Amino acid sequence: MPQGGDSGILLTQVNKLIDWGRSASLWPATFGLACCAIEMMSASASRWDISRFGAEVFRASPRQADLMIVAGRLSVKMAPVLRRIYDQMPEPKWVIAMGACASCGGVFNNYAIVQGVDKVVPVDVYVPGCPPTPEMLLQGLNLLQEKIRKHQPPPPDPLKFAASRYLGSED
Amino acid sequence: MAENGTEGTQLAGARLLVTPVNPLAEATVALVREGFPEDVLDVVEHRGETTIIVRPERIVAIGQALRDAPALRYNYLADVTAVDWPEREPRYDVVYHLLALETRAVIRLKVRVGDEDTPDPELPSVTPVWPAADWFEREVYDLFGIRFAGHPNLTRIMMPTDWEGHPLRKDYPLTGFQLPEPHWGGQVPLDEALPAGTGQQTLRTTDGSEHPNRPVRKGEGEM
Repeated sequence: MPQGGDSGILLTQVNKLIDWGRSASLWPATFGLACCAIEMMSASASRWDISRFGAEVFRASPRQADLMIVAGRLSVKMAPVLRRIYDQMPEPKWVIAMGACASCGGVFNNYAIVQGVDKVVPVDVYVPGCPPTPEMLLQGLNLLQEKIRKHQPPPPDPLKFAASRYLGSED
Repeated sequence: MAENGTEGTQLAGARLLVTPVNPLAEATVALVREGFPEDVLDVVEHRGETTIIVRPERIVAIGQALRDAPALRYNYLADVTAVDWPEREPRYDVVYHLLALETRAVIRLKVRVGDEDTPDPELPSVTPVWPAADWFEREVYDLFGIRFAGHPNLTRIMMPTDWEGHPLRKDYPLTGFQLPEPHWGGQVPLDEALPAGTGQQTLRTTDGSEHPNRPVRKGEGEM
């Protein structure tokens, strides 16, 4: 067995195979909240066909999915539900924030809309647009696939930071 | 065919879709005035739409009369909503839109509530008359703070249950207030100099004064 940090040639190839497998078969759990969901549906329909890229089925159950596409504006009332669905997904999991509202609150800079879902879940890829065209979503998916294959580090979980603030430690 | 301004054109004789005028509006007003002579404060007719402004205490009785009147039968409550006029006393207008399904008659009832002494006004609920009022009144309570006596379940319906404040009042800032962390909400300040809660984006205040953050338009000079 190889010693030290280097896994050796054989395991590197196996890791590469695993990464390719993960990236090429990302099954989304839909979190279609608002208008972006329509474009997500278009992306999964025949013309733009997201299953060309491996997202063969949109699993209704988060326990069977590894990608969560948050499509649409997240309201303050819905935020705990989003977090719960995210927590129910098994590792490894990734999140795409689709659209302006999911990325940063979009046009809704007010009391009721969470200003970016990265306050609630860690986001890997942000897709801008209002709504993004299906091609933009597909590019976002491709970027995520490259990210997985290149082993780029995952984003920090926002709630872990919030919790530390909550428990009294100063920033 | 009724005249609708199309005579002599290619569309002459066609039936255009125009704002439906309620042919039973006068009968409705007459019925309400007759049954409740001291409770009708005003009747407004504008572009074919009739509004009857009544006293708040009598809204249930008037609603019931309109629902049960054999010729009119306003059995469909289309909406209950409210309008905040902060400079006016009484402050709120609660608006009821009624529809008669068999005759397609429409009428609007308005009720004025709320003043300096009662910031959270109360009004009888019309759920005994039209059960659809249940959620409409919950929405009005949630967003304006107007309570409905006799409502089966007067709780918040749109905002989270532990929310404080009534967002659709004109003095509730668009930014909201700094919310505790589990809410994950609140507005990003548009300008770093404005902390949340002061970047008010409604221009009206309850006492009619100029809002300090109101942008000065060109040519206004010193106001």
